[in-house]
Amino acid sequence: MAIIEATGLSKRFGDKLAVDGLSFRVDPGSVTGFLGPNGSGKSTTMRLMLGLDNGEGTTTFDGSPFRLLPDPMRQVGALLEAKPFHPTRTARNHLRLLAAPNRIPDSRVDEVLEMVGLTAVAGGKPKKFSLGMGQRLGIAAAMLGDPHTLVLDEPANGLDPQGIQWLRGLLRHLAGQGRSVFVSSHLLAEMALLADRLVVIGRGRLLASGPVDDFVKSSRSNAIVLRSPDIERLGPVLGDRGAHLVGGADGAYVVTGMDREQIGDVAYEVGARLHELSSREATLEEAFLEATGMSEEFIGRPGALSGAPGSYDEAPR
Amino acid sequence: MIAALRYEWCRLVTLRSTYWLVAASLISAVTLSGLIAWGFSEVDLDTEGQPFVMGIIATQGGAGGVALLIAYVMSLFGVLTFGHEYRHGMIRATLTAVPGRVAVFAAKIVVTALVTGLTALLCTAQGVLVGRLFLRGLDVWNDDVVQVVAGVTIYSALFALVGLALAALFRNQIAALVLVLLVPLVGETIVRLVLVLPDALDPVQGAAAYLPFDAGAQMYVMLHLGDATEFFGYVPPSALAGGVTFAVVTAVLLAVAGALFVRRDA
Repeated sequence: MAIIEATGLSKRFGDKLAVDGLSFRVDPGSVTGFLGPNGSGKSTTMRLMLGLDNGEGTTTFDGSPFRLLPDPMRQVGALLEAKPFHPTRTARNHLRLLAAPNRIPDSRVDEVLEMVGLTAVAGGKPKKFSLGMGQRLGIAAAMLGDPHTLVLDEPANGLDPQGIQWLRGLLRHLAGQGRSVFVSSHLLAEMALLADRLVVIGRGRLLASGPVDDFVKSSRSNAIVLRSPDIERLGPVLGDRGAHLVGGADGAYVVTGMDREQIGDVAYEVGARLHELSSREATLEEAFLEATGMSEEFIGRPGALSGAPGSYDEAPR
Repeated sequence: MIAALRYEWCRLVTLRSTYWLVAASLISAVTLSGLIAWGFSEVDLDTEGQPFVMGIIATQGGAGGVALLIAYVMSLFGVLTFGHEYRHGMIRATLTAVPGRVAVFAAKIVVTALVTGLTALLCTAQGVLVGRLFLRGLDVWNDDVVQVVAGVTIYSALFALVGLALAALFRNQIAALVLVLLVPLVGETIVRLVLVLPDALDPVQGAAAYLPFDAGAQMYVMLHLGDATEFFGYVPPSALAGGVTFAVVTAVLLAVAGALFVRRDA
């Protein structure tokens, strides 16, 4: 089972440093999500890992760079872009083409076509495929050599909800078999369900790396929700002891800087009644937005088109 | 390298354009050779003229100085070898299946040269057979005809490799296609005129003999215009010198394209 070890990956396009000294590790038996805003360098990083882009740094798969792996598709399966196939070469022939140099038997082609649900269109031309079908063919290509490592760039793109659920089950199953799965996605809710670990980047730099739970717990959005009819007595004491309270319209306060037990003890001390004392856990989306807040490459301005749908500006009178 | 060759061969046999181009070449060659042979069927040929007529029939007019159709069709074959990789985004899939770029590039050269050379050989050989069918008693396998068949085979394969190199250089099959058609048909003619007409360029007029496509054509052209071209200050090279010139230019183009292919992002 392969360990992916990326060290010092860097890539420059003209004046722009797209990937900047990125280092991370992907362990077997886990799904590692690769997150970053648009243009943060995720796809470039994946291409660097596979030697498709020339840059600095190294990536090894169990100690060997991709280009030196014998029969590489038997060891690393990759999906890098939507519809990377000739429009008139049939789906089966596309897979046979990739199988041929890697000494993968034709029987495996039919197996992976069945696995991704494309058996019925195996003889069909991909130019008639939807984006989702094309994506399934790309996943079939990645699985062709039954590899111990998968590198997948936005594999859920174009898949319908059933397809996304199927993909999630497939990747969890493959990780459960001890394989290394490295997958980028901008679907954060999906990633929260899928990934065990995360590599988060912004503007080509590593922002966070580690278990999903640790990443989410590190968010400032984790807080305690407090509701008390005696807040005027309790609030100042909590403030004196290091807590920060933000009041809500419904009488609930969001408290940070103290945990539930500490707040409960203080309330008991000052004789304050508590109607609610609960934890509010941050979502992966909140943690991600917080981590990447200053790292977005492309920032839209809702009011830029005055009067347009979604504008926060008032329409001209 | 074996893996890259397996990939390239499988790539070719799973593409419709391969069959279309080979079939179109053979059918057009048979048709044109037949028409030309039919035209000569009523002509009383002396022994001296027989090899020339045979060459004309076998090359569908190419031995007489007409543009060699089969070579242009084969150049399209070469352009598509790399053009498809970039036009349809296949290059990344190719390099994840076969990561060795030098091997990928070399395999494309080998397979393209073999397939286009073999196709050109078949097209020319069938021309000889058609000629024999229409013109019974014609001396078929004399040295001149053998040289023409070999010349067309080598020239067409080199022409295809020029197409391959241009498509790899520009990563755009339309640009490569336009260049591979226009340079020999129009470009070289213009350069030749520029070289031979102004008196100021007299010292370099001889270079007109070594314009690569025209020089390479000396491998199969049987109509020697030495006296006529000498008037303009140059004499066409021999078949060997012309062939070497074309091969060197092709090799340089391939070397530059190959070096860029290895260095560039996929």
